Amino acid sequence: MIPLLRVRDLRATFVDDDGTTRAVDGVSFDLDEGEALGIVGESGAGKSVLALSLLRLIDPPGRIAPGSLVEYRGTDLLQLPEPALRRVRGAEIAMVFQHPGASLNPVLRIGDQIVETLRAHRAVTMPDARRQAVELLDLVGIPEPDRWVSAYPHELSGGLQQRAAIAMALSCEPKLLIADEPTTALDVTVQAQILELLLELRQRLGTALLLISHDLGVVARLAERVAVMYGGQIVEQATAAELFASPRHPYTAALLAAAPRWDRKSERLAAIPGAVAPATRWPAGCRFHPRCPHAWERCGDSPPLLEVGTGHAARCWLVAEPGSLTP
Amino acid sequence: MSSGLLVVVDRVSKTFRTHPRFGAQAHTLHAVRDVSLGIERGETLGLVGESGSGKTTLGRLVLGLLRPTSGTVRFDGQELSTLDRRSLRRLRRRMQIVFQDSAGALNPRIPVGRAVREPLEVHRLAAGSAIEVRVHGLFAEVGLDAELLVKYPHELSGGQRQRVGLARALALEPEFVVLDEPVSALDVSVQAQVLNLLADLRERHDLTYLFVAHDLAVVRHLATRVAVMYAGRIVEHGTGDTLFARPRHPYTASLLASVSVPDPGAPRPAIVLPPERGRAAAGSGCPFAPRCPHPAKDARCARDEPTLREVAPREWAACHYAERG
Repeated sequence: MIPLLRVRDLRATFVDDDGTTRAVDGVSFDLDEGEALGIVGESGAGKSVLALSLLRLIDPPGRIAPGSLVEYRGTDLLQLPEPALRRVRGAEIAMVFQHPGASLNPVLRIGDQIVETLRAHRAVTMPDARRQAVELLDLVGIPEPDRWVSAYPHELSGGLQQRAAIAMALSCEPKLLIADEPTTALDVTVQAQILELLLELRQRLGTALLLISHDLGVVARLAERVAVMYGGQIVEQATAAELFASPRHPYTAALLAAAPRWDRKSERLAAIPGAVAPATRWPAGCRFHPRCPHAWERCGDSPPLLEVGTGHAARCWLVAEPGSLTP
Repeated sequence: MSSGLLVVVDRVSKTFRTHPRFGAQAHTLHAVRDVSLGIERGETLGLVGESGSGKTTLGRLVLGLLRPTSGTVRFDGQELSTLDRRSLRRLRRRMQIVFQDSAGALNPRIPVGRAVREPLEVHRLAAGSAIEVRVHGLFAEVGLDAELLVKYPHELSGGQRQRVGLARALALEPEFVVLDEPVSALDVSVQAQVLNLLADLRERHDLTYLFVAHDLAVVRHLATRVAVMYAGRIVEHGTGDTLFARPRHPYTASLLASVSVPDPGAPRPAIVLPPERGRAAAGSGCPFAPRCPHPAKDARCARDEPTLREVAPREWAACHYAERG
C-alpha cells in the first residue's frame, strides 16, 4: 500500500542578510491513510515551516529546495501547477492553525465561510451548503449551531472559534488534516475539549492527522507515531508508546525529563543546558551535541537516522554503539 | 527565616467599568470578588486559573499596582491604600514583579545591563564603581555572562531576557516577588532552567513568591500552597500535595483532568467540561454550576453561592458538596 503522504528530503530555506536559514533540512517521513503522526519540537526546530512547506505555503524569501519531494497519493505536490494545488488544499488536505483567526475571516459570518469553502470545491446548491454548515458546526460540538452559523468570529470564545475553524477544515471531508499547535492558545479545560473532539472526529471520519506541537502531553494523547525535530531535522521517530517509554535520542530523553508534571512531585528539573543555535549557524556534526550530556568525538560528524528497532530510528551515533546509552 | 504572614488580603474585590462603544452597553466586570488570603514568609503560593479568572488582577492588587474597589491588602502589617506616595514607594522596594513577556517589560532601546542598573540608581542603593560590581554580581547570580551586559533585549533569547527580568527584580533585594506567568513563553528545556533558578534564588534570598500561572505542572513544581481561581473567586485552597492528590472542588478536579501528560498510556480524561456559554451573573448561585460535573449538583447550587470554607484540616473549598468528592 502506498502511503497517503510520502515526504522525502524536504528542505526549506530562507535567505536574508544574516545568511541562509535552513529551517527544514532534509526531512523524510510517511503518513498512512487514517494515521495520526505527531511532530514535536521546541521553537526553531522547523516544525511549522515543515507544515507550511507541505502545501507550498511558505512565502519568499522562503523557498523549497530542488530535490525535495512531497507526494500525496502518488502526486508530487511540489511540482503541481498552482490551480491543481489549490484543488488539493482544503478539499484533500486541510489545515488548522494555533490561532483560529488565521483560518477565519473576521468580516464574514461563520456559516458563510463554510458555505464558501464547500462551494469552492463541491457542486452544492446554496440551501444544501447552508444546511451542511449547520451540521458541521453541530459535528464539532458548537452548542445551538443554527444560531452561531450566522455569528461573526469575534462573537465566539477562543474555544468555539477553534471549533469553527475545525468545522471549516473538515467541510470537504479531507483525507489529511494538518493541525499546527491547535490547542496552544487555549485554556487547559478548553484544550481538553478540542483534543477530545479531534480524537472523536478521527474515529468517526477516518481522517489522517499530522499534528504539530511543542506539547509532549498533547502529542501523547493524539498521535500514534511521533517524530521529534531538532535543528530542522527529525532526530528520532517511533510509535508514540515506544518513544515516550524508551526514547533513544538524548534530546528526546532530555525533553521528557525537563518537563514538570502535575501528577508527580519533582525536586529539581533536569534542564537542558544552553539554547538552540540560530538556524543560520547550525553547529557542525550533530546539531544537539553542544548541549548533549553524552557528546563524544564522533559527534563532530553528522549522524544519519539509525535504525534502533522496527519503525524506531534515532539520529545519534551512540545508538550504533553496542551496550551504550539508555538515557 | 522569620515566620508569620507577610501579605494579608482581606475581602478584596475589584470591579472594572467597561466603556460603552460600538453600540455595546457599558457594564461592570467583577474581576476579583471577595478574595481573602494570606501569604506566609518564605512560602510560595501558587495562584492558578484560566484566562479571565482574575489571577493577574489579584497579583496586581497584592502589589498595590491596582487599588481594590473594596477590602484591604496589608504588606508586613501596613495597609497599602492608607500609605502616602513616599511610603508606598519605600515599601515597593521590598516587593517586585516579573512578567511573562520580558521583551515587553524591558525597554528595547537600552542595553540590558543598564536596565538592571536603573533601579539601583533610582533608589540610590549604590554609586560609582559599586554599581558596576553589583550589576555584574546580579548577572552572575541569574546565570548570565557579563558580555551580555551591553546587548539589547532583542539580541537575547527568551530565556536570557527572563533572567534579565529576574536580575532587575532582585536588584532591590526584595522580600516578596510576584511571578506572573514567568515561564509560560519559554520552551520546555529553557523553562526548566528558569524554574530551577527561581527555586535557587528563593533558597538563597529567603524570598516569598506569589506564583501566578495557568500551567498546573509548573505550579506543582514550585508552589508550597495553591489557590485555584474561577470567575474572580478563590474556589479552592490547600497545600500543593493535598490539592493535587485530592482536589475538593469539582473545578479543580476538571482542571487536573484536562492536563495532557506525556504518556500515551495515560487514561483519557474522566471529565471534559462542556464549552462555556458565558459567565453567570454575580450573586446567582455558584458561578461554576452551569458547567459543573459534580454528581451531587442540585437546585441549591443554582440558588446559593457557596463560600470558601475549611472542608478538611488546611483544605478550603467553595462547594456545597466538597465532602462528597
